Amino acid sequence: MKKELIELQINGRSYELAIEPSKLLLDTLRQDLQLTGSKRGCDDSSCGACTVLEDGIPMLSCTMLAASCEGQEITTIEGVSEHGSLAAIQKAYGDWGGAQCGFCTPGFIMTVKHLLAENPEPTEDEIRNALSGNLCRCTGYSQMYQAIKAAIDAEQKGSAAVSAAR
Amino acid sequence: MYLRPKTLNEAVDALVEPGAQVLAGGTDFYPALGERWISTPVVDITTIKEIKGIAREKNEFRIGGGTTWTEILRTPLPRCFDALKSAAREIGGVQIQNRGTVAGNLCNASPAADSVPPLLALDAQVELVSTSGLRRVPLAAFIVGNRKTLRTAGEILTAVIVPHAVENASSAFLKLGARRYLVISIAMVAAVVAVDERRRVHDARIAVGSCSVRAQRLSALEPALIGAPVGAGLGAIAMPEHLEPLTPIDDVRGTAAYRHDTALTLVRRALDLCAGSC
Amino acid sequence: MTKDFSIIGKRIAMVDAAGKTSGAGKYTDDLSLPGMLVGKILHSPYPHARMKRIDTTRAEKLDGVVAVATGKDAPNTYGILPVGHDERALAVDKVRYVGDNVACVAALDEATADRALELIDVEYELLPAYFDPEKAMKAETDLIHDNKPHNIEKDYHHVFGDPEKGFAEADHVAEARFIANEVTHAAMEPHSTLAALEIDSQTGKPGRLTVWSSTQVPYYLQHKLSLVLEMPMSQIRVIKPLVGGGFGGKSEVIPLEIIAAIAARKTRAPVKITYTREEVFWAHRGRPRTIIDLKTGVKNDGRITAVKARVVQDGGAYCSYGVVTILYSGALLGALYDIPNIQYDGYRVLTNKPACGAMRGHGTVNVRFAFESQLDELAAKLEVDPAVIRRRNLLQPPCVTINGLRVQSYGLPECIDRVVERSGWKHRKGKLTRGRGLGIACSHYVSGAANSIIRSDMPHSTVNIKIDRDGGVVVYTGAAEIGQGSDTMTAQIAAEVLGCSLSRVKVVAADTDLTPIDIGSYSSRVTFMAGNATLRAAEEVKKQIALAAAKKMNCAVEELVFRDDGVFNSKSINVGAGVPPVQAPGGDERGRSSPHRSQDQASVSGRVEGQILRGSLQQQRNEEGPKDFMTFEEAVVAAIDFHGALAGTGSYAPPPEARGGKFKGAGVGPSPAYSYSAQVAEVTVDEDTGEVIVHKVWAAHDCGRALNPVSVEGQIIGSVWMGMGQALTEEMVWKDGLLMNPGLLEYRSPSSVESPEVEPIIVESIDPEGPFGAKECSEGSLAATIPAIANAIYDAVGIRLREAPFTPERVLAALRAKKNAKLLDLTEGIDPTAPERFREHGGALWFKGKGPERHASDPARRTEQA
Repeated sequence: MKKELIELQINGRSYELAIEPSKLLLDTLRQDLQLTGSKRGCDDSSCGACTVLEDGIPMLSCTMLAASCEGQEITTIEGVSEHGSLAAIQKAYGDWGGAQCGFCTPGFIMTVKHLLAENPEPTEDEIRNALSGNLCRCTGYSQMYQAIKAAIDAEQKGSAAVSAAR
Repeated sequence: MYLRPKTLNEAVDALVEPGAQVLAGGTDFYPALGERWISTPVVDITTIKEIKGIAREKNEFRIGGGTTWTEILRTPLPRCFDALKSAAREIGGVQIQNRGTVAGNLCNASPAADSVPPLLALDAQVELVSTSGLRRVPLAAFIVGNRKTLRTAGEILTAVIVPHAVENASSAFLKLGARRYLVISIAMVAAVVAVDERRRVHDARIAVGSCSVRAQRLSALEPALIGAPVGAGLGAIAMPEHLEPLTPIDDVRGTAAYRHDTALTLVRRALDLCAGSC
Repeated sequence: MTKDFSIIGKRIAMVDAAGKTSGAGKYTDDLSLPGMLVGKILHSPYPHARMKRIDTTRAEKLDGVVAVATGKDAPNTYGILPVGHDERALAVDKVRYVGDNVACVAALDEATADRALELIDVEYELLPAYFDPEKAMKAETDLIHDNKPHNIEKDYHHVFGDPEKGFAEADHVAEARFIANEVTHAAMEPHSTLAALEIDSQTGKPGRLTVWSSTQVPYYLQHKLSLVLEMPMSQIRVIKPLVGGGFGGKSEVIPLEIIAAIAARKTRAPVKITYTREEVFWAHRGRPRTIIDLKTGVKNDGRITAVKARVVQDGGAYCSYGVVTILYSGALLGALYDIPNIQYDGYRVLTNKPACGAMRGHGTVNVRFAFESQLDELAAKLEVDPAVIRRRNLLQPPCVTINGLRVQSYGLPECIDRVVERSGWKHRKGKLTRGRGLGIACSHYVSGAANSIIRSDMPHSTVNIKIDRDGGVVVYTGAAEIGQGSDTMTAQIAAEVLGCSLSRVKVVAADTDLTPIDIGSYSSRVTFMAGNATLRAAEEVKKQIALAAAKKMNCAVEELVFRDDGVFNSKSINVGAGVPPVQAPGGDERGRSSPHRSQDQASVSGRVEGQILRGSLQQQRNEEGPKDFMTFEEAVVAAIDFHGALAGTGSYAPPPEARGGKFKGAGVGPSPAYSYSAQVAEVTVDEDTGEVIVHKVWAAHDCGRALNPVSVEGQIIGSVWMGMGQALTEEMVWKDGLLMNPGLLEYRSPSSVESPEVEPIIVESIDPEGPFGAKECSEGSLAATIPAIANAIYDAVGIRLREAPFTPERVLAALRAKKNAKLLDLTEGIDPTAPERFREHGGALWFKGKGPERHASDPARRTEQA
């Protein structure tokens, strides 16, 4: 298939790329942009390891054409760190054992990021349901719940500190 | 060739190209490709605004074919759509619900398509548009077999139409799968039950999925429920013989015998759930 | 060793966590090299066939194809076990399972490689295939391997004590057949290998080979590559990037690892092969379908008098770890309880399916399911509390079991007590509402095998440590971090011994050019063995630092204490009570980033001003004369000035006393230490649909000492969770040798919604030989979960499930059978070896969208055509 020129907005930067219009977003990220944080874990849209945010909404980058993302803002795991340091959720995943082998972790973090953006204080049940589109084979998920709660606490303390400073 | 038309007219024009395929959410499209290389022309309809969203019209509800499951979940709808919402909540995982569309689920026509039983129970019709015009087909007729529909190559499923008739009926959806999410159902049931002022069933629609090549309404059970008092015991009216239209198969998820057995359990439970919320 | 540690036993984030949570960490498939080609493998569509002819010319002519490799490019056989060299990277004469490797295309891009695969012409002569081990064992002709009569890979017949006498003395005997169906690792990262040859600077020909691979065993990979490619090991470098989970699936050489190297050699370009998820299922090496005929005798008080087990494992088409698996199944009947008489007959059988190998809880899990279920049955018959019957059969360590296993530390009694207490067992068991129940079971596992696969006297682990002048510690270990926390464990032990902060320690792991030999991450050996090697290496360096420091501080070496980034004279300073402030920015910073400690930026660097000021600090020190205290880097500088380079090495080999008996097969089972686990599961059974919900599992695990409780708890929960998957949903379903569910959608490991709360309870028995007393914690818990759930189902609804997984269908069938007072025939239900029961393939589309079409002799297809 002949390549075409497309423009993508990823993690706040714009990229002009010549790619086959049939190319999946996941492959474009990994092969053309070397953004290898999004992973391919399955071939049947069932594992969630490739989750990215499209205009803030979690989507599977293995079921989207890169070409169909023109005009939308894509956020990948590489865009989650804040000012060069780990976001609260990333740090909490490390501290609480939410990541073991780490292969599924970027996908989970993207899903959680959206969950917390929509619902800053989810119940455990809401967390479980929100994570259900991502599979993990190491953790049994339990330590992720602790990590998510810790991240919420850290965010709240952080914002409390900011408002106190004001 | 990859095309991303902005309007329905452009889209149907593009579909005239021989071999052209319609791409909506893509959640079934890519996995079904297996090998990751698309060789046929693709018409991506995700940016066509006309086919998105849910509207209440004079005589009917209109669910745009391009509406995603998440959008259905978030739209306030009458009670008769509770079953559809339950199904929407269990389609794939969260990411799939954000991307997958009503039209895609119906046109893919898997025997295990989660949205089909609830829509069958709502007497839904589908609207198909091509360069030669628009037609409506009852959903029950639209899906003709395992991954086979009446949609012709040039047509786009633009909307699902649901009549107002049972708007205030209660509805329920139950699904049995080895996992709650990310799973292909072993059996599933949608029930819509409307009651009259004497609290007796005046309309009942029961549809069962994953138990035949296409989801089926239980046409023997539905009339048997009419006039029955609503309350505990409604489910007990369902009997094994009511499930005769079902022709489940043995496959990796379960045997035919098991499907028959649990379909009856699910039917009874779905009816009891409806009765409980009437 | 009772002292308070500064790093050991603390809740610590994994040292490589940030790479994983930020997406910056690189796994093999994330790597690319200039000029890299993509490799794709052609697999056999037939379960058993002779290859008559293979013609690759059409494929080679396709634009973009660089080369096509076939079996004759590297025909040497290999296998993980020296007794099982029966595999070839690419088939030469025969294919033995659907998915066997036939040829490899290396092309400029994946699409071209895929297209080229279809242009390879192979002519096969179909042979009768064997899918059922009990049928395969009767075969006289068309053997899967010519040198394995009756398709038996290996059989063992062990008798310990006098089982006949034991059964005669028993008051009750239970006997039943149990079946555990096949499961696989399904690690989230599909296998991937990148191979590249350097150009030899002298000859211009391809020279050294570098292989980046998702492996648990870099040194075995290096060894097998050397065998197959006929290159010296010194010319091969294996590097293990981050590995996205192993569970045993990457603990041996997987075909793509050698195929990528063959293709790189043939094309003279770097070649990367990454398996599709379906290929991962074909590569398999999971837990075999196991048929267990088990007989247990007990006295009226619950004491076990004898156990007899006949075990048949459906091993698939190649040996893999099979000989070890079948031996573990027998050997680990011992060392959990005190069993005076054991008879074991084990058969590892070849069938035309992907090879089974090692999977978490290797060899023990299925037999443990049978044993713990039967013990529960006997307890019910005797009207003895199931927790009590287990307590009545405890070992009395230190001891050596009847089959030659040495047990020193034994936390099982405490594990049982703790789960009984935490679950409210005594007042809740048997008293829950209908359909809800509690079940208990125990398990154990080795902390590494006392005898390595390749018989030799070499140490199982060796670790080097180097310390730089600025106090930076580099630990070189061959141990493979696969997500279990190997690198973190190594860093913790080194830091604890040296008394330095964790952030000073950098771990260089699993690179055969840089790191000393370690036999890999399998059989839960890393903490015990690589941990001990790290401990010894650190002790050796510490000794050198202490000598220099003692000289500077004008005291005896024995008086020195290393702690908190400093070296103290313990006579003058009461260490621990009033530690003098460490004179370095980032002061108190032993914990890297524990959840309970806020992390300040200065501490992260681990670098101290001393790096620049070293000279003047040293001078200052000299002028000031002897002191009671030196900072770590001052001591290091002193040691380097004193000895020259500061480096140490340590290694570990299990002691001879731990290596087991002398009989044939005695080498498998012995371990320097065993972990112990007891679990209580709480379940609900839906009596109309057969669905089982696990609400909670209390899991107590004796890991000797928890070096890092976060990791230990993670491993316990993960093991329990994986056991729950095998108990309830996970199963590889076969039809005519064709896997019906080769994808994560249909393999159905539990998602977050079905995953119960697991309460991990750490029990510390402090093993006399483990590093700081530590033992295994990553596998042993798995085996108890399946019988705990089975026993809970019995408690809930009174049915005994003897076939795993307990799918809703099997549960409902058992409930219906009970209602009709009929015995449940185990061979009924979904028997994966009875293809006639299936009328249609899985529904989803497999094999590149072609589904059943790949298999011309498929009965389903014949019916369609008829």
